[in-house]
Amino acid sequence: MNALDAGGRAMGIGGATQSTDSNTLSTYYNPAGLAYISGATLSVAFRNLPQSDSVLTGRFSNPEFTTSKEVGAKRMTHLGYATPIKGGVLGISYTVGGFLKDFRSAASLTDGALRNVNYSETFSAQSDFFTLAWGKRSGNSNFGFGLIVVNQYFADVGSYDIQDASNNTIGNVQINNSGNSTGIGAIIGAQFPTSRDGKSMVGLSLRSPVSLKSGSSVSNYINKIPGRASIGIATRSDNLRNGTDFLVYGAQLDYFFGSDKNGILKRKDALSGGVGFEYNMHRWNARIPLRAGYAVVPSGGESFTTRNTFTFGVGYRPDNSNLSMDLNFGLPTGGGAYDMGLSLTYKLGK
Amino acid sequence: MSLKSLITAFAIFASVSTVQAQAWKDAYDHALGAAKTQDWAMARSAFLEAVVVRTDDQSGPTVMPGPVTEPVRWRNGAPYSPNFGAAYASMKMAQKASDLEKKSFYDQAVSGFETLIAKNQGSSATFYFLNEIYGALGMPDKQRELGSKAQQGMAWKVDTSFMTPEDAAIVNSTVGGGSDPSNPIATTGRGSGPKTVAIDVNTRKPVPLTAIAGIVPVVETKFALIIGNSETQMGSGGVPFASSDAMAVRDALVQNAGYGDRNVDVVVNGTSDQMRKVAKALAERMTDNATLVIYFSGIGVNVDGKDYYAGIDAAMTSDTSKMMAVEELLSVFSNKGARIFAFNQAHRPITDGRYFGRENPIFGVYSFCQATSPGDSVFGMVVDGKLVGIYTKAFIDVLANFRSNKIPVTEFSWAVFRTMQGGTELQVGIGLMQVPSMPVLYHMSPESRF
Repeated sequence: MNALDAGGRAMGIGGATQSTDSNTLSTYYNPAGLAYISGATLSVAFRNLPQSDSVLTGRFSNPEFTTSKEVGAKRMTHLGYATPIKGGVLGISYTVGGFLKDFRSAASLTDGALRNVNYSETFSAQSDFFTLAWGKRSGNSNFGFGLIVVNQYFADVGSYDIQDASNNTIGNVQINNSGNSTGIGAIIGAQFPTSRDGKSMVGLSLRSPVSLKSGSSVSNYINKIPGRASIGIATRSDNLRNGTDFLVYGAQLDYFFGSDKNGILKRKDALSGGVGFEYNMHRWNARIPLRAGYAVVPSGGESFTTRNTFTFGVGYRPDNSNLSMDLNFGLPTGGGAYDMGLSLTYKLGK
Repeated sequence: MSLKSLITAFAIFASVSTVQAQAWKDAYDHALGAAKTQDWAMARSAFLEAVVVRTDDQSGPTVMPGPVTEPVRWRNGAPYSPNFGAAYASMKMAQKASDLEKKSFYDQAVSGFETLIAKNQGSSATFYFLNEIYGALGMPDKQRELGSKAQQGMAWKVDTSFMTPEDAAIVNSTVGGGSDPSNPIATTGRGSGPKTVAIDVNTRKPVPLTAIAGIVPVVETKFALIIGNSETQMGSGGVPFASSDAMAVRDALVQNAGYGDRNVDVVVNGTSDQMRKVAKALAERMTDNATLVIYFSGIGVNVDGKDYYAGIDAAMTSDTSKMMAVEELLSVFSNKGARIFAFNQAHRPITDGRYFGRENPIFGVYSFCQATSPGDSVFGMVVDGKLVGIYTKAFIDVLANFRSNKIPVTEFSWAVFRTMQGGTELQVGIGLMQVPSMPVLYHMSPESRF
């Protein structure tokens, strides 16, 4: 749930350059990347969100799931602004860092001597990260840190009828638990060149787990947003095709730790990652990046499935224009709905 | 390790990291600012300050620290040229200095440019300016030597942004591309061979070529006087290919430069009187404020500081009665307000410090180009079984390359220079023997066109 790619350039590269890139999403992935932003920049990203549809069979207490993945709603998943301020770069962003929506239904589930019929239940969860971050260059390296406020939304809405052995309806259950809970965390990051020419870089970031306020209706489901430790490496080859083009390729590992071990949606610590490349060609008075990658997202627990994804995308950055865009796609190798993300970046001023 | 101690360690590490100063960049920017105000002493000082931090010039772009996902090029990929800049600044200081200081500054510039060439960092601009300085210092041997070095290649690029507009126009007008990638001259193909599309040096917009094939459209206000004196009564100093060169130049001007057949007069093996008569007749036919090309191939002499075109009846280099003074010829046309573009293919022996082309006429609007350096001779080459002047061959070939009725004189001359020196564009390439001059301009802008 918390390995959701918020979109942007790295989405088409399998997320491989999240910690080595430099854009407003750096506030969320690695604030050290902010340090290379040279002018005020505004970005917005949209994507379709994952959604699943599960049909339950068997026992109510331990049902069998048959889940199909669908294309969910299209929403804004990132809005960020970064601007150089004397000595460094300040970034502020809203990013959807986790999302879940699962519609569950069952015609009939046994519950001891009883049966639960006409069962339907929808789980919805969304982790919204509000980050204020600062990045600064120091020699050939960058450092950054940020303060995170997370709003965790959760809703569990549903109903079912209870029948006895003679198929008489003896009761009806309505489920309606929803609410928000907030927590505060921090993120730090660094970027180091690994070659003298600066064409190879390592990015490191560490986000603390975020404990959510207890006592809310969300607490029974989610108590903690996992922390994330990321390490990425990216390399660039310049001067391709008479010096007009360049190639970026990279890899990244993310370890999610400190997860919620007690809630209904309990999760285990998990390692995910991605590899990919981006060929940046210059044609028709524009920089046009073409990218592809592969993202590995293992199951985060018994309530979650593996979601490995082949990604690809294209960008468009017209010469002498302050506006650029990226369009990326993800095709889960295990089948199911595709991902699609569109992001726009506008550099204010010259 | 707890998260709190990890954050603390991180903060300490970040705060004590060494800051690598980009002092060379600041110094270079300072030099550019000084050059902009033509404070060449300050510019030179700042360039040298940059050299202290970052020693060597760089022909290609400088990649600056930036995100690995996006190369950041310093000044949009401009070359880094502080050593060249320092030498150039010295040259500019020399040009403004008193006679007492002039040589000292020129020596600084020569040292800088020669060092760059020795390091295989000789750009076309380096060779051009060094050649000019050698000329100013009266060092023809050095010019010859430079010509041979130029054949080794001038692919190195230099930053031209700090040059004066006049110098930048010359340097950036090199056939085949300028030194500054952000300020190029376009080149395209003409048939299977190269063609140059002239760029207006002020607006940087292409100047439309007036014809693609056939005869370039005639401009009725353009005229030409071509003199080819291959015969001579002097014992030495003749130019045996002069008369055939004259006809070839005539054809080239008509075919490729927009000169009407009726507007071009040719004197082949003419006496001084014949030259004078033809010149006057042409001047009478000319419209006011016309453009005139004078192409002279033959014997030119300097007597008592005055330049003369020798007629074929002249028997001695001191017998000016059988010659036509260059100033006299120019005045015939200047009186009608003509803008004169003179090209001289003549030997230039130095006698008592004097040589043909030394005179500086005071009145009129002129451009003078010489086919060879002071102290040197002009040479011919065999093309299709015929002897042709090397300069004439380059002149004709470059005209064919430009194919325009608005040919920028400095751009054209530089193309001729390159053609003779390098031979890469148009296959002449015998510059080791002969180094042509750039135009010497009187009351005329470097962007003037003929």
